[in-house]
Amino acid sequence: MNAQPHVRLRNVTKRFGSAIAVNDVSFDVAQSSFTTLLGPSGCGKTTILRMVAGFYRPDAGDIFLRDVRVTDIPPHRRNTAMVFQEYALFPHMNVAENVGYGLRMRRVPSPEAGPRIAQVLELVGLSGHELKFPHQLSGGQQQRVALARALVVEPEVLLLDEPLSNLDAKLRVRVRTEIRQLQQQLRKTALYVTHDQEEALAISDRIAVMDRGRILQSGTPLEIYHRPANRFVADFVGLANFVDARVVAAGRVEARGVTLAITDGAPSGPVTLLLRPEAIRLHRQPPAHAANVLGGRIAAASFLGTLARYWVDVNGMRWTIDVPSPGDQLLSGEVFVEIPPDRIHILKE
Amino acid sequence: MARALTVPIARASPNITLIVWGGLTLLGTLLLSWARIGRDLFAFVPGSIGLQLLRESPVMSGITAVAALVVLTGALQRPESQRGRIALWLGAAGCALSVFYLVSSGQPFGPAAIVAALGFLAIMGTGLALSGTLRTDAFLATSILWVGAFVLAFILFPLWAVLKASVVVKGQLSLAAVTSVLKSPAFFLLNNPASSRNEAAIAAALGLVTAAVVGIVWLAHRRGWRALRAAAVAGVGIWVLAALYLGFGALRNSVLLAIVVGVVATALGFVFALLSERSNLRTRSLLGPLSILPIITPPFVLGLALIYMFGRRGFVTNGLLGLSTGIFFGPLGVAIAQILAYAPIAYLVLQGVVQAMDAAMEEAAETLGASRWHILRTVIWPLARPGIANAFLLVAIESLADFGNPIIVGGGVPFLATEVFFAIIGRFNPSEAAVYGVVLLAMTLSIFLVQRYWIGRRFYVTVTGKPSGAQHRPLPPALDYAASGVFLAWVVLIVALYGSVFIGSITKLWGFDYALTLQHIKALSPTGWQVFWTTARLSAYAAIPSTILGFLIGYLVTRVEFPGKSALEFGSMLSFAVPGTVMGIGYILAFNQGALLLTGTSLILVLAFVFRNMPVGIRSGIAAILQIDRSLEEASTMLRANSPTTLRRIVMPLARAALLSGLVFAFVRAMTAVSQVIFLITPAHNLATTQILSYVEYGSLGRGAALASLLTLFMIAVILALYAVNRRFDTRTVGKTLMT
Ligand SMILES: Nc1ncnc2c1ncn2[C@@H]1O[C@H](COP(=O)(O)OP(=O)(O)OP(=O)(O)O)[C@@H](O)[C@H]1O
Ligand SMILES: [Mg+2]
Repeated sequence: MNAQPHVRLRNVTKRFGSAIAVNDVSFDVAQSSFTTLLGPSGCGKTTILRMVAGFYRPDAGDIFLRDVRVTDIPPHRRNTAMVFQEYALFPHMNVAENVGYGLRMRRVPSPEAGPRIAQVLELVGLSGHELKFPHQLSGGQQQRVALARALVVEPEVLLLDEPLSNLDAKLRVRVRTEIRQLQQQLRKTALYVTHDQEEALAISDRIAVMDRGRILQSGTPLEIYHRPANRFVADFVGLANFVDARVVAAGRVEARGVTLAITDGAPSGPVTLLLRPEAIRLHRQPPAHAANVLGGRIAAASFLGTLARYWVDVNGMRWTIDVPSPGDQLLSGEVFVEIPPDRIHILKE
Repeated sequence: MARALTVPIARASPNITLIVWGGLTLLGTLLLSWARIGRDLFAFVPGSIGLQLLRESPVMSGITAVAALVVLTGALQRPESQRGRIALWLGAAGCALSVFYLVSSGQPFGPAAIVAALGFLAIMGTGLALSGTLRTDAFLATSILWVGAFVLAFILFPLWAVLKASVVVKGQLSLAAVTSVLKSPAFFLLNNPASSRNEAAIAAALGLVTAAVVGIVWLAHRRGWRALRAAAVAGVGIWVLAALYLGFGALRNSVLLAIVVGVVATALGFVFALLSERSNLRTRSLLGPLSILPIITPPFVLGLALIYMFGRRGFVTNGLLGLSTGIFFGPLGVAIAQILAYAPIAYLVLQGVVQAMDAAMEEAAETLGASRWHILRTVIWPLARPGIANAFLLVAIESLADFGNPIIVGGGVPFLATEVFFAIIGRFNPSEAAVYGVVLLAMTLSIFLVQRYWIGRRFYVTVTGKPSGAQHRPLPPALDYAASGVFLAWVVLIVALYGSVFIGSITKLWGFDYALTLQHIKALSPTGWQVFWTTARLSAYAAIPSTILGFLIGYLVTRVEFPGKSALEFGSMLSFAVPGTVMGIGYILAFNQGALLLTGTSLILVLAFVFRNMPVGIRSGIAAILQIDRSLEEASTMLRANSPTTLRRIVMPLARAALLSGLVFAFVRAMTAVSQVIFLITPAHNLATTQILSYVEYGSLGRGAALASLLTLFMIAVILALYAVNRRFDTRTVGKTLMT
């Protein structure tokens, strides 16, 4: 991997009227990496993507592709390509014409363009569909045409704005895997936008979590999930139980009169504990040789196939707890809750 | 696949656009005529090409030097933004010098002037884009400047000329013309000295009584300022209406006519809209074809038909009833002709409103326990109200501006639009005409502003929102039959009236001798036919630029951000609100002398058509562009297409149906236009509509009817052809576009 970032944003701000859509954002996209902007609706993801594409000009700050400042360069002179949420396939052109459009605009002679179109269609698994019109294709196929159209011009950076949101759940999982494989195979730098945290975790090298125009944290999927920087990130990515507590001594916190052992270090004072649902264990009998065991009562249960999800009242709090590979019977009534000390994460805010 | 393309960023190679525009401007300036003799724009005028003028005119040397510098700027290796700034200043200097040369020479402009104006504007546009002043590309920046210049020259400048003429009499700033018109009894007279009544006092008394009654009733219900306001509004309203009703003169006639026609045509239009959306009866299938007829024929054809049916020797009044009455000559006849002609306009506006009213909302109201009557009052009426106001105002504008019907069946009663005409043609008084024009303009313009900024916004709210797929409730049968009855009466009248024109064109002497004959049709040759084809030819010439310009403006205002955008939009839609007669005198006043002399040419007719009908193109263009997802254009841009390519390959193919109907409607409107061209025609360039009017005026009703029938049949054929072609477009591509 190249040491120099491929895309760089420096203190970029964008306003629409008086509302700030993107607020002083800086971040890098590494060469050949798959970086995802993740955040709730309206947080400014699309705005950032469109600034990288050149459709919006930042009100402040700069954007670089490698070491070239592209802030003032119009979209058609940047070497980026975008896959749109609604695909934006040209309805009056067939698949081959859609995919070939960018080549035609670059004046690639047709003896060269033909094989390139065929090659990229093969890559996305659409050989043989050249003469179909967009409305004759399924949603997943349309999506792949859009991808092929972006890839065939060999862009430096591939921009994808929620490309899967129009697909049904199963297809979404399949196509996202395909996109990831293609990106790795072609070693393309990709900047991807989604509000689906599971999707982001599944396919990204790095994730930048956004809220209200700011980037709150960026890191690998594992970092984001296990070491969220704050409560918003913890809550947005995955499920979370939050516990208000105080650090009373090194390695000990107190929450609602119960003392828990932790491994995370923190100065004494009030803190918020983050407990992921799968980090907590449920027992019918009090486990032997275990730290942090509390009594609880199951308030509700829901069977999700690979796991069972329980809502358990513990010491006046209601926690969400996931138990993997549930058997024939779901638990109910009084239970014992075990929290391994190394799975308690302290949020520093 | 991994081979990466290197980006050609900030490359400082020669700029082809600047070189081409600079070169074209230079060549045009040097080799084409700057002046023109007579009417032919392309006639070569010896001694007036730039090459010959160089020696005697330093300004001309300046113009050519600027153009040459532009070429040089394009060729030199310079950073783009610097090059842009230089081009911007050179273009501005070129424009200024060219205008200065034209004004100081005082000769009618020739082709070189056109090339120079367009060329220097294009250079400025390219400069604006390159320097980054406008964040668009050279093509769009140039389009903005060109369109802006056209709107300025051919819409705002003529209106300015009218305003100026109304306050400048014989070269002196003076309100003499204004006061003499406003005081003249032909304009407005409230207190008629010949009558024993005191009309002014009666009107004032009525207003006061109304104010008192309304105030007391409101106060009884709820106290406070609202009572006072309601009383004031009602009092002033009644006072104005009473004064109009009791008074005399063109102002009174025109305004009363507009109100009556507006109310009745809107009511009819609403009935038709309800029928077309919610009727269970078969009669509704007649709505489409019959409502389009009055829209595609000149409105005065109905006036002509009224003479046939209800005139002194009319088929109904004289033939059937044995009367000899002139009652239909005058405001009554004009009102009937206008109501019949404009009800379809109200219908088209209201159909959209009734259609957009979501049936789910009614269902929701019903599940909440509302009765039918309640639903009408609390759901349908509030939602339809802005649309109804809109329809009323549009019809009122049309009625105020209509020229043909008052001329044909007005019976000599003065109306504002005809007074403009008689002031110029009969009394040779351009100032008086201008004052009448300004009054008319002030009224239509304020209606336009109300419609656009006050109602337009509310209107929008009701028509957005997703349709729920719920079925509209059918009308209650009693209402359905009643509404269908009204509609059928209108149908019978329309069919009878148009039929009488057709029959009139093949009967010997209507009212006296109903024997069939081809004499009127034969008498059309040669003049009638010649005029007809001239009209078709000029209308076709005009339709193309008005569609393209309209589409371009539509694209600019929906898709491009630039300063002055709302001014451009307003200026270009303005000509919808300007009565044709006013635009007409504007054109003769503005283009009558000096460098801008255009009167007497066929070009001025084409220009009048183009800028009159451009709003049709703008509206259909905007409607079509809004249906195209913006991301399609962005995808094209990302793939390196520049904006003209994106327009040509993506936007225009997807908007083809709209472009085509815009083209056809621009053509139809040009063919049927009367008022804006009546001052501009010359014996050499007469037009079909004005020819019909003059046939009628000189008593050859038969020939008038023959030409009117020909025009009507031709328009029907054109519209049928459009439907035939467009239906195929619809199913293939457009339908799909609309869905994404
Ligand atoms: N063209 C625009 N004009 C005005 N406001 C805009 C425009 N585009 C975006 N905004 C505003 O900027 C903010 C960020 O919008 P953006 O489209 O970037 O959000 P997003 O994160 O992509 O959301 P979503 O997930 O819903 O697509 C929003 O509040 C939005 O209303
Ligand atoms: Mg978005």
